[in-house]
Amino acid sequence: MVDSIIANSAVWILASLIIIAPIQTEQVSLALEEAYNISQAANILREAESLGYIDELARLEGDRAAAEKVMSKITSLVPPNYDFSLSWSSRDGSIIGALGLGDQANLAHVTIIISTGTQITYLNLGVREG
Amino acid sequence: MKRAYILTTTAAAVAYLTLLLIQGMSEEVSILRELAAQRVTVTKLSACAEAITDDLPRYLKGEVEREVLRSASLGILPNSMNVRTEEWKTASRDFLKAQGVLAELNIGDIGFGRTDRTPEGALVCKTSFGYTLRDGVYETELQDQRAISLIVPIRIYLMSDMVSSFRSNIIGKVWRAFMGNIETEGGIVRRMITETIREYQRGCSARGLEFGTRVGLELDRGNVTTTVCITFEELWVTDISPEAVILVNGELTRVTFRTERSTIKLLFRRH
Repeated sequence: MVDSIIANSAVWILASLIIIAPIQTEQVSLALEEAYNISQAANILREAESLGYIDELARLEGDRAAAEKVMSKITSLVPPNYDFSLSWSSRDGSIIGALGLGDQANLAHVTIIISTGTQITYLNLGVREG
Repeated sequence: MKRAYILTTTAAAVAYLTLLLIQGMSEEVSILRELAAQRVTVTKLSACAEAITDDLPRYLKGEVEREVLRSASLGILPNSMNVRTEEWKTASRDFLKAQGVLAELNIGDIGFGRTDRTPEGALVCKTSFGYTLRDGVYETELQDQRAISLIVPIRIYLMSDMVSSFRSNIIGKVWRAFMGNIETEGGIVRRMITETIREYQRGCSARGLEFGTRVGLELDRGNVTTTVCITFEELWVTDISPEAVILVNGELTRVTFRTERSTIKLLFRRH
């Protein structure tokens, strides 16, 4: 009888852990993934700044076609296995240019401020591993 | 009875152990989640700090260029007091607030000076920038203080030098000519002025500047005195070097240092 109780108890404890562990692990991995994706987005924007793409974009505010080309250069820095969304907007929220996914769900976003010759704008990059 | 007691106690013990294990696991998971969230916060804070640190020189450059353009059109040197940073500070605070970051931003006094290297006679703008960024949730704080120095490659000081030097050169030559001989003919003086203009045009052209002027000369000879009026109708210098262009309302514009019409009257007396 004692053996049966020990065996049952062990099975019960293991079963509880097997059910709960994946849920907990999933939550942690989601949080870590978000942190990683945010750092990826920040790195991409940092690289774009160091390559002069942000300065170039700031000078092209009035020329949408040319600005989109520069935005494409920025998104070319996104790793190939990543989904992305890049949007450039003015302070009042009106969109100056946008590229990438319309679906913003689960994207980790980083926003930077860009002063152009005429106004102050925001560039938002969202990424997630595809 | 004994069997029932053993079963109940065992069940309670197992339930308690399971609870402890799950609780322990949950705590560890919470710690891990907390660490991940804090990592997100730190990454966001540093991204925000980099964004404002990279953007301030960009904003200042635009403001300084506007001031250079304004002052050059009036024929004066730019004044750093005319550079405003309030709009940028407000926009940056809004930008940071939208990301849950509280900010204290401090931009020091702005100073203008002349470059001590190429481009010769261009403007260097210096200030300091300090910030304290605080995350609203974890109270994580990031602060820094740094010096900002940027060059606006428009050779405003050199252009101003050229204008002043031309004016004093002409006045000096006319002065010496009439001091040497009060009967000096107007034609000779006009030729001298034309030659000086050409000299300046050649000199400026060699330095990537375009020089233009229109100088008028009037002589009034009396019995005792001769009055010479030199009128600088137009006097302008444009920086035509490739990098000396600024964007005004989406259009590339060159800066021209242009002085207003001015007249110098020289009086010579016969001895």
